[in-house]
Amino acid sequence: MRPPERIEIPEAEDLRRERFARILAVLIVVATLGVASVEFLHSIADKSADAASVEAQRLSIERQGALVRAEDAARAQIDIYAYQQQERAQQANAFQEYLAPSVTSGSTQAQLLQLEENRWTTLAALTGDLTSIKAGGATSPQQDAAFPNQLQSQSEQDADRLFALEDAQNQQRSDWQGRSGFLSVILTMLAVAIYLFGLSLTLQARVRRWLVTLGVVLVAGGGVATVVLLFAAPAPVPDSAADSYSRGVYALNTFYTKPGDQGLKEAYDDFSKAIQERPRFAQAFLQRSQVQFLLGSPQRQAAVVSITTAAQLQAQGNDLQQAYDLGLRDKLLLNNLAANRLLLAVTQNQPSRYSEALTYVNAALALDPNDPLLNYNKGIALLAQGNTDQAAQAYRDAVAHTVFTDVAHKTARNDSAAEENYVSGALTPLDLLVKYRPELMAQAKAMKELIVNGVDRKQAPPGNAGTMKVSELDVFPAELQWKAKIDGVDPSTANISTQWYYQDPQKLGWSVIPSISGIAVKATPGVTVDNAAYQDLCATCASDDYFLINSSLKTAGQCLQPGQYKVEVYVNGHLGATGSSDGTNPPLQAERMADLGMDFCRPAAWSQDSTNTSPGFSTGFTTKDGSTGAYFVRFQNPETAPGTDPATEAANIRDEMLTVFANVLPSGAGTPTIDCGTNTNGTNTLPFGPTLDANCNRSSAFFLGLTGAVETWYDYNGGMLHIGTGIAADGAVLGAFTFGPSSQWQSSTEPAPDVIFDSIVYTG
Amino acid sequence: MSEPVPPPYVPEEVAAREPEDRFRTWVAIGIAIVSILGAVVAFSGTLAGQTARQLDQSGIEDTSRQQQIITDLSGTVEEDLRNLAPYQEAIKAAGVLQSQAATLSASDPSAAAQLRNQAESYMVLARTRAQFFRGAFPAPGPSDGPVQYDPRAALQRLENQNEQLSELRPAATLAQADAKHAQGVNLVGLVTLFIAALLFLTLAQFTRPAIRRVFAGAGAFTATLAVVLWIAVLLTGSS
Repeated sequence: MRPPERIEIPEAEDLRRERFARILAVLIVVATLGVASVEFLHSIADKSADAASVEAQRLSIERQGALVRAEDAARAQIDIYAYQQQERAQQANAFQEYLAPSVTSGSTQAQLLQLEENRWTTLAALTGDLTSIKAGGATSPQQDAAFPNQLQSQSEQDADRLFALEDAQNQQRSDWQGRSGFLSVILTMLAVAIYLFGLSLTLQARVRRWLVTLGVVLVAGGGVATVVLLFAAPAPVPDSAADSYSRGVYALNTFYTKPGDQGLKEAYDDFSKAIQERPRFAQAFLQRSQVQFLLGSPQRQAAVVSITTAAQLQAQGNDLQQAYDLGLRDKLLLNNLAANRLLLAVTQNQPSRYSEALTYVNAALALDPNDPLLNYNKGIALLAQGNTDQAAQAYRDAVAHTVFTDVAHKTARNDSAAEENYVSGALTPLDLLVKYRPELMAQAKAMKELIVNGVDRKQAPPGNAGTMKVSELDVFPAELQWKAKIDGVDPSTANISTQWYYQDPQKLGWSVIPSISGIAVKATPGVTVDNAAYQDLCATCASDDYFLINSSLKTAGQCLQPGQYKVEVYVNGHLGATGSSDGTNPPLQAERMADLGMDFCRPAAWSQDSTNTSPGFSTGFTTKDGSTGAYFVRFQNPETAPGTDPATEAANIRDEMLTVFANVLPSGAGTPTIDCGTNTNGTNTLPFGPTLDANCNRSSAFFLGLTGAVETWYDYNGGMLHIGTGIAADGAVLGAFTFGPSSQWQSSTEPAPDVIFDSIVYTG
Repeated sequence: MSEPVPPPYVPEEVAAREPEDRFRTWVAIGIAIVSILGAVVAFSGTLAGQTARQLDQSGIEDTSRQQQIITDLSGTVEEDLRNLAPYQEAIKAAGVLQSQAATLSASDPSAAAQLRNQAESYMVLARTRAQFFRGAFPAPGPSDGPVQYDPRAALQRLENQNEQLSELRPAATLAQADAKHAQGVNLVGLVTLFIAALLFLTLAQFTRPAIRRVFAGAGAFTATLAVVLWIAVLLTGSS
């Protein structure tokens, strides 16, 4: 008989180990279950991020397509509108031919010309039905000073909406990716916990308890974090935010078509609504920041703006900061933040803002080191901090990037308008700096000379400055003129650069008017060319008297607003002289008439008389009641007999013009009669100044600088008109008259209708 | 003479453990099977994710191509619109000239003939212009109204006629991608279920005999449910 097998009774330690191992096994499986659950959430987050990313890409592609199609459609509408205008010009040509002296009234030729005029009228009306641009409509050149900007902005609204939707999807993607990142951290915690549980099986009692405890803490922490994340899922973005955004962009792009601040306020409301609907809409904050700035700025038409009120500057800064905090880091935002901090530093005496501005400007320069404006902003920040040498270097870099698009290869920009925009963007803040920090006047002057000389004289060393003193600065409705004494240098060979400044009635600061500033062109003898220095040949003038005139209407299609004007004239790179004057003209808006070869400034309330508008021949603008207005005509082929004196021809056309337009004067006006003024000491003079010749025409009439110019004043029942005619270089006769009730002419200074008359400029 | 062999001695405790050991063995086998199934499901989830990403890419490419074609066709319609004004001018001028000629025919036959000649010239211009319409041909419209051309209808017609465009279904492809993504997520979810089964089976392995069968049952149920759902996901995913 065999003894029974030996049964081993486990010792207490072994039993404890076994129990511990079992617990660990369960813990490992629990942690693994946690891993699987978190991975499930992780894959949901990844899926949602992928879906948002794909949707953003799809919207981006659709946006590009929509944008191209919208622009093409707008261009097609413009082409049809242009075709209609061409037909209307054909109609006007037929009418002009009918008026020609060679056409006998009642003849077959006259009959055919009238039929032709009717035919073109019908055809133009039918073509007008094919385009969305209606004469006098919101998108027409009459209502849109920047035609066809309004039409294009309108057609791009859908693309803007798609952009906002794409941006929302990108935000969703980013949110889901962030969540995915957190879940990855939790997964790592659980993986470490599992490792610790496994490792603890091989170790001694005390250490393994610590490891297991740590593992349990990690599992518990991961669990709690997962539960928290479950309740913080990214919320979907409402599409209505995109609608508000696109409306805001449209309102911002077309704000100038609305009176006063209305357009900007609409843009502000739309962007605010977009932000309310999507509080993390960084692009809406960026766009609203631009609205905030413009709401306080007199520089609404400028490409580079630097002047605004303190409140609006602060509001702009807040919006820019919001956009930055929401993660936006594009060049526009960084540059605007830098500019905002600079302006806050300068205008509100916050020196700490300079280093903040430098941080942003350096970040923007990292994105685009070739942008001249960024270098100019860097220059002024360094200058204000007292680092004059570094500032000068920054300005030299900026000048190089202004003159060359590729500094390393010396590729010239060859765009004087863009260069002057950059110069104005540099000079305006320097002027502002001197206003608030007069102790920096000398340094600012040196930097201004560095900039103007560098850009206008293509970095040539400064030359002979001579001596110069501005004697007069004239502000007309559409033109600025300086008169000065220049000695020691020949203005016909010297580089003369004029920088015109404007300060609004609120006196927020001087800003350069880039459209009419820049280096002077060579003077042409016999005619007065814009932006050329001429010797002043007036009766009382000396040989060192010079003048220069710049037309903002001709150059930029803008009339000069009430406020102060200042000029800085640089001779061969040196700041030669300055002068200033008040602009007392009423607020006027530009009206461009390229088909007639004339532009003028008119009150905003006037509207076009469509009945008497024939492209290429005539147009007119009046107040609603028709009591005040202006009419223009161009007889392209006046059929003048050879050898006719230009002044006689001009006078004949003047009379014909008055006949043709007799019906536009207020009812009861009767037939206008020439006003010969009052005879004083043998000279006929009108109460408001002009002297008249023996024929009661203005002495030395200038009308647009045309040959044989004739200007005359006529009285009619209840009012008066001022008419001028003259012959252009191509033989066409141009004529214009302004009229208004008697009350407007009873003035010792220039009467309102004459202010309008004097704003007319010849454009060719 | 040989003695009879006594039966082997088996202690009572050992005899009682035998069915338990068998039970544990089966549970261990279950754990192994569920682990393998979980791994396979995770792998199929990864594959579904890869397919979804490929479909995403394909959907984006199709969207791009679709937009390109629509923009191209839209350009054709815009070209028609540009051609419309001169065409209309020619055809309507011809009509107006004919009617003006009619009014003059009695009083001034020579001028009327001149106008008729001009009308014919305009008809030639209109015919020349007409051949350049590519989207749709405009209807002449009423005598005192414009020619009729519906750009929306013309674009719609061009889109319908474009074979390439009709073959592109970016929305369907992206929807398919979305479904594949969802399948991938569901499969990852099923892995969780398999691991839950593992948890139950592990507990069945280690807990007291009185409740281990409950855990084993729960584990088996969870694993079976996971397998059924897996099949369902595969079936709905492939449909």
